Amino acid sequence: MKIKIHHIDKIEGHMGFEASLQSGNIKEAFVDVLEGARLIEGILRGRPYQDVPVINCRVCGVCPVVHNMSSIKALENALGVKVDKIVILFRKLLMLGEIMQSHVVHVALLSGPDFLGETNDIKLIKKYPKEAELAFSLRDFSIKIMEIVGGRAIHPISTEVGGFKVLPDKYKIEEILKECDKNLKFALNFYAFLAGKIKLPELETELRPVSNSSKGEYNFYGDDERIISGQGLDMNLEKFYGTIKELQKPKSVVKQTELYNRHYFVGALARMLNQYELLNPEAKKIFKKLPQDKIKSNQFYNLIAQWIEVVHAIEEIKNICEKLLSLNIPRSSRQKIVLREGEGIGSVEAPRGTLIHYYKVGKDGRIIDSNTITPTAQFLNDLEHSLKVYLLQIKDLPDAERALKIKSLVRAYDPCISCATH
Amino acid sequence: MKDKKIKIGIFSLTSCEGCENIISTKPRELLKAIEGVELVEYKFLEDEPMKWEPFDIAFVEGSTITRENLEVAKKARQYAKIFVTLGNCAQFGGIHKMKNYRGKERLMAEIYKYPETIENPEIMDMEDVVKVDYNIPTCPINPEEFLRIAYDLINGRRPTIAQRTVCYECQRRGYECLLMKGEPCMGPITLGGCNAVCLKSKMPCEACRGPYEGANFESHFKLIDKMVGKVRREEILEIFGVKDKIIKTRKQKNKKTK
Repeated sequence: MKIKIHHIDKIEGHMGFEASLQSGNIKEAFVDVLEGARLIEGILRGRPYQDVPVINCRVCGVCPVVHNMSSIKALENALGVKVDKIVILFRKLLMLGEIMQSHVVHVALLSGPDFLGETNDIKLIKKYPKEAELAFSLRDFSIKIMEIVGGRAIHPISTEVGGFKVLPDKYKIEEILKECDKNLKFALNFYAFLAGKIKLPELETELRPVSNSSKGEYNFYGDDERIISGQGLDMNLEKFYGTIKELQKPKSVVKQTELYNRHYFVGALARMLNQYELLNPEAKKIFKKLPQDKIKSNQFYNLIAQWIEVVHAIEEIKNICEKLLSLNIPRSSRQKIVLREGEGIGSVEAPRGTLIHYYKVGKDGRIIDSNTITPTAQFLNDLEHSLKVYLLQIKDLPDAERALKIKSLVRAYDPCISCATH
Repeated sequence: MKDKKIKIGIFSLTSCEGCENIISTKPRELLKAIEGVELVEYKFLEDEPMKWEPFDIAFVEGSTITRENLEVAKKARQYAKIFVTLGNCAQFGGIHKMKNYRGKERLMAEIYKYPETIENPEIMDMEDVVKVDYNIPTCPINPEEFLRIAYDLINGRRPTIAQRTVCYECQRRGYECLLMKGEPCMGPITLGGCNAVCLKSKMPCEACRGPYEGANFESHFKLIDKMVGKVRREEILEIFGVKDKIIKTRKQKNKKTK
C-alpha cells in the first residue's frame, strides 16, 4: 500500500509526504521537500559581513529575528567583538517577541486547529471568536515588541554586529511593561481553553531532546554556547557543530542532520524537557500539571510546550523590561569593528529549536565560507521516525482521516521548510 | 450579477513566506476586508486543495525556482482576472536573485553533494514570467499598503501607489540623513510608500521597493560611487534584485528623452 500526501498545507514552506506499507509493516516513510533552493549560504560568500544579518534574516518570514541574531553572534565570534549587557538584554527582548509571535501563530492558526476539529481558520475564528481575540491580542503584543526593539514586525532593521543602530526610548519600554500582566492573563485563559478542548493522540517514540543550555536561565539566546540533551550530552557549541553530520540525499534540498548516526529532536518540547526547572513561575505551574511520563515520548506535546513558552516569555519580557528601566538606555549602541581574519559559530534557540550559523571571514571583512544548520533540518529525521511509529497505529483508518492524522503530526513538529532549505 | 462573490487566491512560491505572514498580522482588518469574499486559496490558513477554475484576483508571493512554482504562477495568471505580485521576491526575484550574479552552478556545487539533482533556474522578475497587473512592493510588504490595494481591487477600483521617493518620505518625517553622513543610501532613487521605515532605524535604503521612475539615477550613482565605489553600489542593488530593473528603467528613460 502506498500513501502519498502531495502538499501539507499550514506549515511554513512546501512539503509532502510519502510512505509504503507491505503486509502491515512500514517499508519506508519520508517527507518530500518541495521548496526551491535559494542558495543563501552561497550568495553570502564574497559579501561584506555587514550584509549577512540583513540577508540572512530573510531565510524565514516567520522567524527572521533568530536568523539575524545567530548570524550576528557567529560574526561577533569570528571578529572578536564583545557586546554590552544592555545589548544582550535588548536582543533577548526582541527574541522573546519573536518566540511569542511564532508560537501564537503556530498553536492558534496552524497546528492547534487540527485538534479542534476545524482546519479552516476563517471558520474556526467564527466558531471561537473570544479565543481568537485572545490569540490576536497576544500576537499584537509580540509584534509591538519587535517593532519597538527591532524597528519592524518582520525582518529586523536596528540590529547589527556589535549592537543596535538605535535603541528604543525608555517610555516605549514602559509601554511594553504596562501590557505584560494583561497579556499574561490572556495567555493563561487561552491555555485553559486549549487544555479543556484538546485531546492529544497517544504516541510513544524514542525522543532525544537537544537544546542550548544556560545556567540559571531558561534559555533562548544561548549565553553559555553549550548544547545539552536529556540523555547526558553536554558539550560546547563548537564541538557539537563538529559532531553532528549534515547529509544530503539525492534530489533533496534539505541536509538532514544526525547526531552519532541517530535522529534527535529540537524545539519547544526539547527545551522544556531539558530545562523545565528554569521556567518562570506561571509557566512552571502548567508544566507540572502535564502527564510527565507521556511528554517524554510524545512529540504532539510540542504544541503544549510552545504555549507554555508563550506564558514563560511574557513573564520574562516583564523581568527584562524591569531590568532595562533600572539602567541608563543610550540612544544607540554601536561599535567600531576592527577587521580580522577569523571563524565563528553562533547559535540561538529559534522557536523551532537550535539554530546554528557558521562563518569564515577574510581580512577584508568579506565572507569566505558560511553554513546554516536549521532546527527543521535537525528534526526531520526524528519526524520521519515518529511518522513510521504513528503510521502503524493509524494505518487501518479511512484515507482522509489517516491523511489528516499524518498532517497533524507533521504540523505538531512545526517544520519550517523555508528555513530548512534556505 | 451584483451579489456574485469576488474570489481571491493567495499563492506562495519559493520565498521566506514573510509576506503571507504579514497579511495575517492584521487579522481583524483582513477579516473585514474579505467579508463577503471567497478565499479560494491561502495555504497559511486553510488546508483544502486548490480547484483551478476562473477567479478574480491572484496575489502571488515568492519567485519561480521549482517547476511547480512556475506552474502555479502560470495557472494563477491563466485563471485570475487580475494578477498581483506580493513583495520583493515576486516582483524582482528577492534576495535569492543574487545567485544569478554569482555563478549559480558553482554555488550549487559548493553547497550540495548532488547538485545536478536540484532545480537551479535563472531567477526572474515576475513581469518576465507572466503578465503582471499590479505590484505590491517591499521586503516584506507593509500590511497597510496590502490592505489598501486589496480593498481597492475587491471594490473594483484601480489601486495606485503615490509616485514619490523614500528620500521624500524620510525628510518629511525628519529622520537623520544618512547620505549626508556618508552612508550609501538609495532613498533618492527608490519608490516610496514604506514610510522610510529603515531610515527610522538608521539603516540606509537598499531599494527593495524598486526604482522611482522619475529619479536622476546618473547623478545619484555618481555620488554613491564616490562614497563606496561602483562595485559596492552594484552589490547593494543586487541584494533585492533591483539592479536589472534599474538598467531597464534607465534604458526606457533614455529612449524617451532621445
